[in-house]
Amino acid sequence: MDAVSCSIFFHNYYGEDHKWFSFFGKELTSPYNLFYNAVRTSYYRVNAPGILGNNLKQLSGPHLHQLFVRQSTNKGKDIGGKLVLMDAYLKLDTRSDYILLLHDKRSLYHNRGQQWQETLFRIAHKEVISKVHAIFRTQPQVGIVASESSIRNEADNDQQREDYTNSFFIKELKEQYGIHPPGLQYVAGTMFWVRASLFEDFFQQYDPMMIRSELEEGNVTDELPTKAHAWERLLCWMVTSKGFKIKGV
Amino acid sequence: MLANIYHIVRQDLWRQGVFGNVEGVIVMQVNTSASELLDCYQVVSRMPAGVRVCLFMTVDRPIDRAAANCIIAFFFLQTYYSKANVPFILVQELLPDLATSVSEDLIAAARAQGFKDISIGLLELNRKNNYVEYLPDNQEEIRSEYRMLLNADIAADGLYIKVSSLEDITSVEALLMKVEQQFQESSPALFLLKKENQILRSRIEGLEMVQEAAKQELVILASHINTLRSASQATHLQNYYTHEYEILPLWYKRFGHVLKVMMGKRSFRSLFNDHVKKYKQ
Repeated sequence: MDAVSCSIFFHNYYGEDHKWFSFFGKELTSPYNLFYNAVRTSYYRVNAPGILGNNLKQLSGPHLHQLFVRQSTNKGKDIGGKLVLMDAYLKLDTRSDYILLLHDKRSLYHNRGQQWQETLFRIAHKEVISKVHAIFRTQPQVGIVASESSIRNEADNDQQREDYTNSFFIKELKEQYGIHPPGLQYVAGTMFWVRASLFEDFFQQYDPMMIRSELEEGNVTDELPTKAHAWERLLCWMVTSKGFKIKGV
Repeated sequence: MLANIYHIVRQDLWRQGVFGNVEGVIVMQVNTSASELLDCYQVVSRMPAGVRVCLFMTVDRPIDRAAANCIIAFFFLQTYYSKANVPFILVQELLPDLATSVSEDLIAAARAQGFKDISIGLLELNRKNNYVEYLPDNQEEIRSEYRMLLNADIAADGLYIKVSSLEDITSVEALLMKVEQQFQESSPALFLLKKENQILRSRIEGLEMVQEAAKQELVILASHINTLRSASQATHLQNYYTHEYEILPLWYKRFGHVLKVMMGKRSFRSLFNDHVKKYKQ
């Protein structure tokens, strides 16, 4: 299989497929594979069936190399969806230099959800993408690139409670998967670029579907600690525990 | 077509991976080895969106969770066939009683991946289960089987046809379409009823999905509303107002009103009349 520079993993819950495919067609200016997961039982999708047809490929621009669509159950929120796509990526033996994780985030229970989405999606705009690629090329110790304001340190969080910094789930999963990061920096919102090889190495060792089977069902919020919430941190810490850094753009 | 047609395709055929315009369901015969499941997954992933596919597993040993997860991954493919909104898989056991344990393991793995249920059909390759093999000299047998299916009072699941080549699929469907046309001519009322039944079943399945999805979404939105209420600025302000002002005694509040008038912040007439302007700005 030809290598392309980028594979996008996009998890969709709220529909509007045309909007997202047009977005990728407009912003991606080098060859890319698109792994697109749609939650089959989402109300926003069952109410408007037949959206995911072959004609969507035309909207995705001339640089779309291959499109892989999955229709998953609602488990583990966007983390669960991205694990389904990681499983597909490995099974199909597709390879790329970078993986871009995205999802159609709305955060309906936050009063600044729209603003938050715009902040996170900056990294998928073409003018920022060129900066991201330059960082990866010139700074080999960078493993993850994300929007500057989305990078947090768990120790500095407003919610400085044991539940968050050291929840039972986080402790258990760190031991189970051998993830011991030097610090607690992570990307809130789970939208970032990562060197594909780092995820490939981890998920070839630990089955993404097995990890997904342990996540919570439905759209759990971050009011209480959950495994999905823990994996939002661990997806970054698996990179930093290998000595790589998170860089903001 | 009025009934489901399942084209059973063995390993050497589906590896060719070229399926054109097919009305029925392509049933991919696989064993439970990781390498065969992976090959099959890669072939199915590349099929066009309109094709419907399901697995037919021949099991000669119990399966572990990793193998079960490999199988469940097929259910996420756009092309994977569902019956009444539930992913469908066929199983043939090569040892007695194996199908039961394999079914239980598959159901457990599917539930762990968020499926409420899956539909597992135990297929014995004999005439009892509407199974027949397509051969050049048994076309009349297939016509007869399909005719019986169409004329049956109770809706049978469908016809399982083992094919030996990809061209057989096209030949089988052309054969069965002719039988349906003859059925339509000989029993037009029954044909119409069966057609309408098919359309209505499909609509019911669609509406059931919408209803279930709407129920789930209402629960989610109610939870979001509670979160917003508990953390909103309006609630914060209300609590501040209540604690700083509302709990004070009435005489103290009234003294405050008089003080505002003396300071020029409030109109004198508003002390006695609710319908005049209270504040200067």
